[in-house]
Amino acid sequence: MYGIVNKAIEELVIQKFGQEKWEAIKERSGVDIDYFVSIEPYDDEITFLLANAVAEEMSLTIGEVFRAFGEWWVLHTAKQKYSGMMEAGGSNLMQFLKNLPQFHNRVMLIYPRLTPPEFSTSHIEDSSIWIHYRSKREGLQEFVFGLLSGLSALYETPATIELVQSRDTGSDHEIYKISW
Amino acid sequence: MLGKLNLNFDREQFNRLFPFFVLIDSHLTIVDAGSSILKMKPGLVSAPFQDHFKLMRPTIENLEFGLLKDRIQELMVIHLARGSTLIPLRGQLEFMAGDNRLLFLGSPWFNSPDEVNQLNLSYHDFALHDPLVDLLHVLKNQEINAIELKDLLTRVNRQKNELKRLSFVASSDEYGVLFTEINGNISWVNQGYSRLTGYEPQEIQGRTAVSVLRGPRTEKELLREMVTAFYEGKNFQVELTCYRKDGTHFLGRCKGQAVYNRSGKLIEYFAIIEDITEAKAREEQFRILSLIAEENQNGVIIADPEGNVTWMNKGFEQMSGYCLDDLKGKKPGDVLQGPNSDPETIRYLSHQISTASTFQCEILNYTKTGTEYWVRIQGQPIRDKAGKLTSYFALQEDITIERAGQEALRRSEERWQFALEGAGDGVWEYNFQTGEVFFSQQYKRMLGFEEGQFLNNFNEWESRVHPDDRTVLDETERLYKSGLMSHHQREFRMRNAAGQYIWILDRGMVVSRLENAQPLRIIGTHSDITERKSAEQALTFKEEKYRNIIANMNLGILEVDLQDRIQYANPSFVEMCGYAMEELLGMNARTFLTSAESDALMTEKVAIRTKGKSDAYEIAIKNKRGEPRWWLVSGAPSYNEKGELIGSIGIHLDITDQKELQKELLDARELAEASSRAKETFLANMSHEIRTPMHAISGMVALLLKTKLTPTQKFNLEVIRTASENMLIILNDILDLSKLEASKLVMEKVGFELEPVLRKAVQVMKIKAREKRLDLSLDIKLDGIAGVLKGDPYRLNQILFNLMSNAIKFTEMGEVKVHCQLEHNEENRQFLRFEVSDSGIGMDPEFMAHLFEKFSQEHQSTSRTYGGTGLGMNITRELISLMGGEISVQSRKGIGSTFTCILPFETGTKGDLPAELKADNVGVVFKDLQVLLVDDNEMNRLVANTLLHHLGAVVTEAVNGQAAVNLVTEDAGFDIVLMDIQMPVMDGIEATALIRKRMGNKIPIVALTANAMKSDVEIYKKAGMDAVLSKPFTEPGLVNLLSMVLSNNTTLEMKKEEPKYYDLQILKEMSIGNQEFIPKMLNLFLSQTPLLVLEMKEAIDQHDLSRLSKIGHKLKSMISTLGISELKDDIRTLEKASTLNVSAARIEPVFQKVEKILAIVLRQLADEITDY
Repeated sequence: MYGIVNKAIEELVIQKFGQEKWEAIKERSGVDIDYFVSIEPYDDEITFLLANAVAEEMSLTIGEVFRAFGEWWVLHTAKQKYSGMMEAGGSNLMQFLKNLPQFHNRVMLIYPRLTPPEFSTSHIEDSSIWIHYRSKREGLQEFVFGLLSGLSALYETPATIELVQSRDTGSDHEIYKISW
Repeated sequence: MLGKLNLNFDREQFNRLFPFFVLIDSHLTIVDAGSSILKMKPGLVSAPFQDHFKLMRPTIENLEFGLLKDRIQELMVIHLARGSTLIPLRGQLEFMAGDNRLLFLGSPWFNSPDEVNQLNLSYHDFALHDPLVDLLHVLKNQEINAIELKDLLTRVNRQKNELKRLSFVASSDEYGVLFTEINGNISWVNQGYSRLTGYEPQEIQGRTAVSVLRGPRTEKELLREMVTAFYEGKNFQVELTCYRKDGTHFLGRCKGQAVYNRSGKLIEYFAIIEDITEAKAREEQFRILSLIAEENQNGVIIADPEGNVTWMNKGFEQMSGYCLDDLKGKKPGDVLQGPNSDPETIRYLSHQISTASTFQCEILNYTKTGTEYWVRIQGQPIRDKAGKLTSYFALQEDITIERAGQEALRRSEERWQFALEGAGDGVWEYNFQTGEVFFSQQYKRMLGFEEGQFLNNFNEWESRVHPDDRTVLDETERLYKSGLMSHHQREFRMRNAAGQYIWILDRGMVVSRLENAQPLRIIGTHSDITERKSAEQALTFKEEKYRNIIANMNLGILEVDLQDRIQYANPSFVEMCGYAMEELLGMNARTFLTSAESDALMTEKVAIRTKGKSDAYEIAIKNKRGEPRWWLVSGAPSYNEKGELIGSIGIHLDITDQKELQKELLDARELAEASSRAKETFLANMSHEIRTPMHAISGMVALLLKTKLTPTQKFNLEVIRTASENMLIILNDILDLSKLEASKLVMEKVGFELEPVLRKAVQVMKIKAREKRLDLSLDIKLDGIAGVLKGDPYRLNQILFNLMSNAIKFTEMGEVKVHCQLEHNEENRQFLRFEVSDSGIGMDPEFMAHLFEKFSQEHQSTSRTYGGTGLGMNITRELISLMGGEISVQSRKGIGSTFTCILPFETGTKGDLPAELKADNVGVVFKDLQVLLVDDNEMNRLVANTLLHHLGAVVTEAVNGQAAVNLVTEDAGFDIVLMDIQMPVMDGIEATALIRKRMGNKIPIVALTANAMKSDVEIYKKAGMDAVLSKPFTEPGLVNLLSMVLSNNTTLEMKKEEPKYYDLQILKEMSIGNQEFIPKMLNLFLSQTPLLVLEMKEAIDQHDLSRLSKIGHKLKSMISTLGISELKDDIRTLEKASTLNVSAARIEPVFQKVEKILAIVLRQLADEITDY
């Protein structure tokens, strides 16, 4: 993942728990990188190590960490650095979600080393939509969940998110049903 | 490639591809524009191109369609004017031949993604194929990157600086710094280390620190300590011998610190080594020196060049009481010196110190607690190698004791001097050998001489001694010379300067002798004891005086010791007790005592004496002859000169005669009291005994008179009545007199109206007057007389009756006039003048003098002619004086008499008048009145019963209080109780008290008593009686009193006002002549109703509404038949209770009303039935 992701984790931890805690978490993670460069790609493992360290240090589950991170990503990082692009995504939740696949396709060119996941939509109704998430990576389901809930907050549209199916339960990909 | 490509776009398609297109015609008018450009600036269509756009590149002067047309192969930049901003658009032109139009295709140019937002454009406003915004994003990332790089560089720089700083530390020369890995191998050393040990870093890299440093002398224990700490990952500090490369050694202080990472893992060791060889050596030297100084008993201070203390030893602390903290930084003088420290010395000290010189002095210091002590100080400046003053060293020696000795000596000399001179004694010294004599100044002064006036001359001195006392001097001289005496004390008189003789106490002592033990020098003092001497004489004189008094006084003085043994008795005591003086001394004082009581009394008094108390008491004794006597003793403790109790002294007086007299008086008093009590009892008894039969007689006579009688019988009865009335009058008189004599007659104080009382009294007397054909008139002057007076109207009546009856008795013809007027007024009372004048036989002066005496009548014959006991006047006068008034008489024999009495009455108000009796209520009140008559006397009962029955009352009799109590308990419904007082078994008072207190019964109780004395009335009222009726009572009296008592009782009122709750009209109609019907019905009602009421109550308690309704229904018919209209609605409520589901709260009061009214009806009907 690009440095911006790890940087976002750092920002999240520092903001919520303080600089000291971040140092401790970094120490715990064993990640010996002094500084994350936003536009540089880093090993995916680093992100997982950091997330694990956060989970251990703060006595949370890794799922909780990723979910929190997902929300943070939307509500802070994306808002700050990709605000225009977020808008481009859509002016309301439904629009954005419908545009999600296209959005990722766009992003792919800017970040050549990014291996973005594949999003598709189905079961589009007046106020609900199914989001299909396909990824080679394991373990980011909660992150996606967090992103979706972050989006709901960003568009000020309180929504419920259900995990219709998941790889954890034998399916080949995750489907999230969002309704509001 | 040329040719045509037939692609037809609709506007929407075209706009999607080129949202920023602009189409202009040959007039340079905008024909159409893309939605996005229109979004940026609406209203472009049909507007001139140049109004909104400006061509930037290529630059064309005077823009023209044709000119533009020519430039279609060039890159074009146009600016769209929007407000004050110019938005650049980058694109190209194409010529549309068909319409002769020019088409601009392009899109806005931005430098950053933020600019897009500023123009309110979103990504949607751009064609998807337009990569501009994405590229902008890429740019943005580069920006971010640059920022981050800068940030990173700043951090690196900061860290570098910190490292640099640390590296200075590390590279310092003084200290050796080394880092080792956790296995102990040296990973890094600084330059200092190299310098210290002689090893270069590369030489020792990888070797353990210990192996490098150790050598033969290295302290094994310290080494072990270090290593142990190291392996335990702990910090350490040791000072041990370290070895250099060249084999030399030094003392090194090694401080090692374990370094842990954040996770708590030991990652390396860091140590500092310091060469402390020299420092240690110096320390040791210092330690030895300070030990010397410390242990020195003397005080040692070390001060800085200014003289401020920097160190002091234990000795100093002990000496001064201060510790180092108290004095550090201060000048010793400032703290240690005090008020008595010599200022001169202080100045010397500060001078020496300021000139950095040595000093030595003795000065007074003060300890911390303020004690003074003397020190000898020796001070010395200490200089460094350069000769500069670095500190002061001072040794202090405590010389207090040394000085004290000197001081003591000086002071004792001073004291001696003062004592001698100041005390007023004269001092002299005499040399036996030379005869020389010395007198001190004070000596001379004592005799009234100044220094020069009295010479130290023996003969002169001797001449002043009183001639009579000179022998004393000779005697002492002889004794001294013979060696028999070494000191003396004597008193003699000396003539002073004024020529008077003063008494001298002379004391002397031999202070030095010759070798043959003969006295050589003698010194002594003379004190003026003149005063003392005269005091002594006065005392002796006083003693004589008192001794004489004691010997000669009439009181006996006895002195005993603590064992009651007589130590001294004076002559009077000897006389008193009959024993001889010799017999008395040593005798035990208790010998005089006669009884156990007096013995006990003495013991008690002895005990009191030991407490130091004095007191007086009477005690029975017997004298030598065995005669019993009474003594009054005033005893006091006696003390010796030390103040110790040694016994007691008593003054004794024989009071036997007085005691006798006392006894006689007591006996007489008892007798008098007994007789007085007897008199009282007699009065009470007589009163009762006489009145009872009298009561019966007059009562019976009155009753008889009411029955059918023959004229003869009536006449005879009248005679009996008159006789008994007269007898009663006489009896009352006698009783009154007795009461007056026993001072038992008490005046009432009730409110009354004067006029009616007077009128009534005159009315009664009119009959008597008419019998003798005399005129009796009443004249009242009411002006100024109060409407209501307070007094005893009964007694007033009595007085007036007496005066009037006398006037009538002693007047044969003419008139009797009664006159009343206000005599004079006071604040709360008035004096009234009553005059009774007659035209009777009159009295002559001799008789008038004795008029008011008992039994006085003019002639013996008068009583037979005129009757009477002759008590009347006496009683009248007694009554008048008891009332606080006075009576006087004027009379002329043959003309007539006028009796004048003046009586005071308190003024009262209407409220003071007793409650009025309503005579018209009589019949109503007494009918069916339930009376309980309690009297042990059958006659009395008969009288009262007949009277009451005649009035319509129902009487129940009880023979004593106990029976009455039993009857009242059963609650037989009595309205009133008439209670006699004196009864056997239980008297009236006890019975009333029982009824009231124990049973809480408030039934009216009237006391019937022959004793109507006020004190008794109080007793009766207190016991709970409501009123008192005195026997014998008359019918009106009884009626009035009962009416009064009962009208205060509400139950009677209720009875009076109780309406009939039922109406027999319906029954009457139903009966249609059947006589039996009504009483039958009434009986039915009377028998059934109480049961029904009970059942109803049960039903209510059990909340059984249906049962309640059923009973209510039953009762309803009865209630309506009997016309009990009051309960019509209430019974219906109860009847409907269950259907209407009436609440318990509502039922309760309704039922209570029904119950009550029905009870009254039952009672009223019970009465009704008897009429049928």
